[in-house]
Amino acid sequence: MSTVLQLASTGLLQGLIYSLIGIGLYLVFTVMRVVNFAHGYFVLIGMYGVLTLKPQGFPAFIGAIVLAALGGALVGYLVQRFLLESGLAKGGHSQLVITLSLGIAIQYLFQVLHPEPFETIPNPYPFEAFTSSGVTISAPRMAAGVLSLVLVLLVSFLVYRTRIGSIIRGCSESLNGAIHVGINVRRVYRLTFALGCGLAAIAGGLLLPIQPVSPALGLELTIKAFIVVVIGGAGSLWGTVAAGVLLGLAEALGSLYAPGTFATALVYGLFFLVILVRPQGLVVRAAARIKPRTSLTKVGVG
Amino acid sequence: MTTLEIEGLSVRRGRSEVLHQVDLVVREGECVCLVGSNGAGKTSLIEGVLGMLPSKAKTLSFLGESLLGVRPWDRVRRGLVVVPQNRDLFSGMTVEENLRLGAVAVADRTSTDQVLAEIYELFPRLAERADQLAGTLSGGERSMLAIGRGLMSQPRMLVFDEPSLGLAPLVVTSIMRTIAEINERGTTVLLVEQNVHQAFALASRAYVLENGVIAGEGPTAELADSELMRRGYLGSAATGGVVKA
Repeated sequence: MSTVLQLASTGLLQGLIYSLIGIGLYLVFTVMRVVNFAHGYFVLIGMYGVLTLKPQGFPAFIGAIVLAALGGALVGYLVQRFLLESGLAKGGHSQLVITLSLGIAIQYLFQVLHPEPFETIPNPYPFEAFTSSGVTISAPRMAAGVLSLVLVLLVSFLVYRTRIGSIIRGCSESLNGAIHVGINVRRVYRLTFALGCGLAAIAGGLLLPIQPVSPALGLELTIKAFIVVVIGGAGSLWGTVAAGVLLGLAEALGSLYAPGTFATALVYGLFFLVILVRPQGLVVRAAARIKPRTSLTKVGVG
Repeated sequence: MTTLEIEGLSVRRGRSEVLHQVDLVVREGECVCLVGSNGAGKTSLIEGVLGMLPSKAKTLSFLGESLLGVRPWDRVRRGLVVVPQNRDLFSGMTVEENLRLGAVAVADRTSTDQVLAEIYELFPRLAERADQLAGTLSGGERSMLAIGRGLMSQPRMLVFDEPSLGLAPLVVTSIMRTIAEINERGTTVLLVEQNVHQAFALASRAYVLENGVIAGEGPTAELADSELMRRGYLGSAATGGVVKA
């Protein structure tokens, strides 16, 4: 019993990090209809960013995460500004090629800078582990999960309760409508992409003390972020959050019933099943069906 | 004073030019209509004026300032607001959220609540449905919401793109009455319509668009009796619903 509890707690906390990674991708996807294949690599930017800064102690660690997040956001902003914007204007599948190549470029860049795989940092938190009713959670894991949850709540507050959030949602609902009310959609796109990438980088920073970083991790995280967004459905942020937790739990508990690598395969097989049964995802917005959609290209502002 | 001045406007949609050398003027406080059959280029003209389609023009000015090179959203911020044909509402957001987003570009936010109250007065139905998702509204309500959202930014000029499209005759009458009221309260109006009779009843001047060029213009009273209108709209080519009025 305590094994199940142990795995479930670990899975839940890991899942919250997936949720945080997922909502970054979710925002970019719902607002801009851009599928960012480089998303997981922005998590890498956060991981390597914090690793490079070698923070000593907790305040320095948080500072390093903030810096890494700003760095990730800046790279995201520049990517949107200089690569995606012109790509969107040209139409076609350029965004796919751009984000995919960007991801691979980031991976090889880190392979050159950090040839050593599986680098990590020691526990930066001022406590070691929590033990309760036979379940032991290490401090970095506990903190990463809790901080991810806090950030997810903050982002949902931003999106659903603030003026900026209603502007972002407006752009996601109707690009033309947003233009008709005088929203500078180009700026919203840049900021949304920067926000999504920044969140991914934060998740990377939080993940680093738990999961040693290798350049190849980018692809895996991108795929996980996709699974989370697709399983969550395009309805609301909460679907993405729920799907993140689900993925974490499935991964952890999967190892209970199947050996190592096979468990991973099983988990992804399970998600095929979910998609077959519920292709629209977990949460679907009531009005989503009647939503027309145009692209930046069509309105000539790309 | 001239509110909107267009000279030699050509608009492209994709590779083909759909509007050729159009001249059009709307003066302050006027209600001008632009009529034309399906595919004449009415919506292209609007999208060209707003900068949402690539265009060329000798003059394109609003309130005396050139709009050439100005981004679409900045044209809106200058007070040139379009109530689009397909409404372009924020379907997954509530009626009130839609209206409030309408005022998002207004610098002075203190007036927003007051304007919102006025719009609810103008459209009591919207007030009843304030918390309902825009995507669940009926056609007439969607039209009201699109107009209300346009009014929220306190525009200098409102361009209505086919406000009667797809609405029941009774609803059309009520929407047209509202447009007249908006114009009487001082907002300059350009009414783009296929429904010639409704449009002519409202506007003082009219432009007729045919195959991307202005085929005629003048005071509605004179234009209504002209050979052009008889040929194009009241005869065999009349569109459904137009003839019976």
